[in-house]
Amino acid sequence: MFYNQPSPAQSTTSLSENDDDELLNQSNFYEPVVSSPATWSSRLHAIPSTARQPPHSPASHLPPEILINILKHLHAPRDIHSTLLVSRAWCECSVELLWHKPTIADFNTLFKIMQVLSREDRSFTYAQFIRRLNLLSVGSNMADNVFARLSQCTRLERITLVGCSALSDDVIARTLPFFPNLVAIDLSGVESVTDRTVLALADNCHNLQGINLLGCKKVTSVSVRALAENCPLLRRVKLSGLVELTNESVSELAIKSSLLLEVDLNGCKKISDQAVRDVWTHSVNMREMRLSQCTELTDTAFPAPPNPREPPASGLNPFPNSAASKVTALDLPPLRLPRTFEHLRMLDLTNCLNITDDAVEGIVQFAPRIRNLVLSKCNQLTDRAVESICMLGKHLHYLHLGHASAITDRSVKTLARACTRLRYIDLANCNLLTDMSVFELASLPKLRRIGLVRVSNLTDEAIYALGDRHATLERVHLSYCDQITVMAIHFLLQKLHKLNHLSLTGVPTFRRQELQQFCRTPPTDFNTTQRAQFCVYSGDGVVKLRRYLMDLFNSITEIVPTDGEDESVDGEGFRVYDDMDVED
Amino acid sequence: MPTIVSVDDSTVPGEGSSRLLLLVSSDNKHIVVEEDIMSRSRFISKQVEGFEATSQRHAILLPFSSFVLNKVIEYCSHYRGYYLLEDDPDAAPPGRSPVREWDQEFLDVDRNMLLRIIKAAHYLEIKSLVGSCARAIADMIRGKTTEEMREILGVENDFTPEEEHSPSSKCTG
Repeated sequence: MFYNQPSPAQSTTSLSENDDDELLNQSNFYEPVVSSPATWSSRLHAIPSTARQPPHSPASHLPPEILINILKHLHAPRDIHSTLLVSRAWCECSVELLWHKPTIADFNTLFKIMQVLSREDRSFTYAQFIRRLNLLSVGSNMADNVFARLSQCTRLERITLVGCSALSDDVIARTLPFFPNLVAIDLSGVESVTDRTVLALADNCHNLQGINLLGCKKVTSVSVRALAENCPLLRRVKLSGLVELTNESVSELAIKSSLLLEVDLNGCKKISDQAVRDVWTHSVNMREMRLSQCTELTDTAFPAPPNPREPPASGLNPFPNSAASKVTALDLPPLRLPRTFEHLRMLDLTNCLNITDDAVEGIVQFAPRIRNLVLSKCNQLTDRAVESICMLGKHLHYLHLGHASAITDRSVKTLARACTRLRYIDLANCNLLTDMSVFELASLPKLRRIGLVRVSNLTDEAIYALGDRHATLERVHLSYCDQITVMAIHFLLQKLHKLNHLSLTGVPTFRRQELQQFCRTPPTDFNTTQRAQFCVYSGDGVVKLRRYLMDLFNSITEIVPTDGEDESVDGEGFRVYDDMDVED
Repeated sequence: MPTIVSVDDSTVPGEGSSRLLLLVSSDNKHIVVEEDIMSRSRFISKQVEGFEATSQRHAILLPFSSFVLNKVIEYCSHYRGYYLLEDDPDAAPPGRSPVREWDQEFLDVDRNMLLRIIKAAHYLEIKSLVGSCARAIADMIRGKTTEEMREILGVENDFTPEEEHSPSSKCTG
């Protein structure tokens, strides 16, 4: 005892904080889990050097709980390091904070840490203090023999192995059993991972809450089912690109993991309606569901609207290809849910080609608080889908309807008036839309990003309307809107001072060397024609283009005699530079 | 450790909506305070629950001076009836907030007083006050060297010379 006043206050003993929001490799607030002082590793250290009287200062006998509370407000590792040497009691309290989440900037740092861990004469068992490891920066330099030595860190709770592509499945599967307290693991891009590694997790890490297996193509349903069976706390499960994954494993996850908050099945091409129905039926806490490129999905995968419509007579349906979905649907009854999905905020159905307006109607009915809705390339959708989406009202912030080529100005007008908090909208390739849609969207007070690629009816009038959103607009995509003139863009740039991205690829008036000089370099995999058309301005490029066009504009107006009005400020943002070049 | 003594019913009226508590400091000052002011203290709340179980009310003896106790009561009175993010002071939005500004002013006291307040708050289990004091103390030592930290808080170096030069303390943070 280093303090003489035992307190009735109990230390909290919970080691893994209840993880709610950010889970995998998020650098959230420093949240130390340390709640008690560390013990010295050798007996020699543990005996106080002299049995002298405690000094009079009140700080010399602060209870360790208080000391830890103070130290955890010192976020900088350098400060924590300074506290380490203050006194034995301070050392006991700060050493664990220092090692809790070592920052690994590169392979060298990792190497030094491994050296300290293996020293015989160390004062503490440092490996036991490490709760979080992020090896992203080591990446492909991470070798099997180094990784195997991490097995000393038996209290590890979170590990990020993103891009550690040189690791073998064997060493990962043999090391993970040493981490029984593991709460989150990110194996994105560690392609060697097979069912063996995932089974090792399922068998040993029963507290697992988050797993990311992005691109671990060899993993199959066998091990994902075992995870579902053994890890009841699973909340975030990212299985993007697990092409072998089949329905049963996803159904099992939905049924067994009642806490599931987030599921990512992007590109799991074998997944079909039954699995997604089970998610809707069982995962009532779901917040984010990503199902992009799950091309097998049909309307049957989604909740049926409560008031089923009469099946449209074929004569009424102006888009005959929407009958295609009926062919692939199995004999599943319409999905009727007893309750709404109040927590769903994010749904990505990119390229789920078979879904129709009915699916959207059912989804919106049962998940009324969706914030991000991605329906890009769902090309059967019509105005009716957009009208359903309007029911999300102010909850909707982000909407992607690219390639919903049947939608018209009528529904976009309703949308802009219903979903007034939209920040991001993409209507690329909705080529029936006209300036009318943009007039409506330009009134959205929070609009930050608008995508209008290949909405080829648009004229300069639409661009002038966008100028109204000068307080918020940051990104504007106008590629292949081929009627747009340089003058309109000049106007837009003067108005939109927050703009940091402007794409004008394929706009004929911008295929000029003097305008393209400020745009980004085209991606290397573009061919010559594509390179010639490429015209995307971002960051500094936007600033330079704005400046260039302004100078150009000023030089033109100067030639026209205007009653000595050479240095005026015209409305907001029209600043006239003194040093402009006068061109002929 | 505090002991609990019975007091006269006349000293602590048990009727009415705002019942009173008698707190006795280590310098034997008797301080009467309304019960709901002190409900922020888990320690006091537990004591009061105990009273309810035995239907007897007592004075609560506390192991710190009336000077410190009054300061704690001032804090509790200020936040009477407010919800504070006391379970997770770090979750409070960083930067300026009315709570932080008032607390900073309130805790603008000398080092020994600050340490006494944090110990009292810890004893009384008032998480939000412990958190605010801890933040104030951390602010005092942030960016300082080890020796400066010892000086600021009056901590004695009890490492042996060998330990102090031990390379094991060198680690990459």
